[in-house]
Amino acid sequence: MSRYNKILAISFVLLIILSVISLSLGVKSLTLETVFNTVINGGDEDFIINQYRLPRIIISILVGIGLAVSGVLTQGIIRNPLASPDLMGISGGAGLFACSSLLIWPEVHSALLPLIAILGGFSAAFLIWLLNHFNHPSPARLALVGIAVSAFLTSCINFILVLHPVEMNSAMIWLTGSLWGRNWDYIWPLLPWLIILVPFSFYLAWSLDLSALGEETATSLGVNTECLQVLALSSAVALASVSVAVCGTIGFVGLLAPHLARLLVGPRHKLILPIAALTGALLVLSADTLSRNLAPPLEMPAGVLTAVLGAPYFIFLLYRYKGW
Amino acid sequence: MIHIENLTVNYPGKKVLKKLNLSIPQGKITALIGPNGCGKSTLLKAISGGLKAAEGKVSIVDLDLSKLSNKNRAKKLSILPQSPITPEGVTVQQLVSFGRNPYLSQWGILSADDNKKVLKALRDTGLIELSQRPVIALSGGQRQRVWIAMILAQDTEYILLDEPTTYLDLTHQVELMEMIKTMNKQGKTIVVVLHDLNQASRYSDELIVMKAGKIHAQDSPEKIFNSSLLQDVFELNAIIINDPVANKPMCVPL
Repeated sequence: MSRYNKILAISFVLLIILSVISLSLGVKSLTLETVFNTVINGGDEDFIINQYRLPRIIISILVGIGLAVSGVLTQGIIRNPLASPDLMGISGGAGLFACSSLLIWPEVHSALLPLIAILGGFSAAFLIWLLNHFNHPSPARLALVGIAVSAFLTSCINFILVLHPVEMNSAMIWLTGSLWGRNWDYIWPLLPWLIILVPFSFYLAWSLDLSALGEETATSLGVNTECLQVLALSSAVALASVSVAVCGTIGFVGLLAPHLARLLVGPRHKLILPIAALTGALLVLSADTLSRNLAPPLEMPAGVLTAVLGAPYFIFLLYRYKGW
Repeated sequence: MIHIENLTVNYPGKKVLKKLNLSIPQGKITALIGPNGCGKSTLLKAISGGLKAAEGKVSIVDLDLSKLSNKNRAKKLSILPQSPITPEGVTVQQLVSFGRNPYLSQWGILSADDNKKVLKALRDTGLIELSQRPVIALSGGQRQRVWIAMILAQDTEYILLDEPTTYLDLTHQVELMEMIKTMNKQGKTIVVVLHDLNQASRYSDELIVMKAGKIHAQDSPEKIFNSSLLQDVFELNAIIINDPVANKPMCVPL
């Protein structure tokens, strides 16, 4: 078994183990035997396992995959170690649109929500493009612009939540990212986007490898760089936005997962993508499992837990690439 | 034969190339020389399609290059930029295999024939032993050989090189220029921007001398490489002697 397959198998097994643990732990902890029986046959614990914990685990995994793949695509094009959908403000835009549409128009159809979030993501992307258009931004500058845009959009979300006071847990979703109250209904609007965009990102993988040589060299090797940039960045914006539509901005996953995957398996995107996706899923699922179990029945927002890991890493990156 | 007609290229607020007309001969080594900022690199990029021309046309024989897709152009013409970006972690073999891109589908799967060409490029540049090493860990001279190998794998009739010797020590400069000479003997048409005037005279069949975005002179080094040219273009006082090894004109600044 090659080293790569080993890494792939280990992350996959870890994800399964974590899912089982997550199914059994909670306000009411269940034995593994009960968990298996309930998943297969239903029974007394059907609601807790099959209606409450299982959909949440599946959503965690899907959102983790979406955010991680979005991060791989963004970093592949922008060639900036700090580039990721949440740090650049894309998630902020998606969050603002999704949360304001829910508060202003509460009966909005759940299939429409990802579309509204995507609109927000693209608006934020356009804003960032405008702010960076007139000079070639250094990596640190790009990140700073993103942080400023994110801060602005988050304050807009705050403002809206103050105007329309909501219950604490739903506020948490839009402020820090949380999977509170997410059930099967939230899976169906999310799934088709992932089914289309994740394989599509594999289709772009080889061109992204070439794009790492810089625009000039990639073009001279026959890559249509403009087309590639539009396709990859649009997919990245859409993937991040639909994830945000379901559970808000779970920060740093789009930064950490691609970096970790690159560190483990090297520079080929074909190899990075599966590992990043699994790492992203593991990150969100661990964050959500912890969030439910740190102080039950109270919940911590999952976004706070990913930030505990992500923020120090972000500072480390800023420190490591001082010379920019 | 590369034909350039009326080529004008602008950078924001500045005309870099002004209505250039020239032909680059088939099967020869053509060296582009001129003072800093005269537009040599810009001309090379405009030929390769890396820069969009504001006006004018670049064609190979009768084929207008702007009418070709990126991939089809990349089958005709390859370019080594002045300071290409070396991605972290990419091995020598991987980087050289990128040269096959114009012949591959979007999935980037190399056929047995593609792999054979990559292997040949590695062999021709003496990189077989280094093929699994990350490019970023190599010395400047070795790294430049990797880029040459990538271009060899691209297997184009025309090869453009932008100051390939600038960051190398003399030994590696000579090694690289000899490699370019071999490529030319195998039928490639070479256009190379050089800073070292004596290197340009020694290795080229044809010299193109540029000044302030225009062609100042074009002919064989024996005919045009003289002290009045150096005075006119570089404002350099120099005498010309005969290079005893290559039997080409050679300048010695006064």
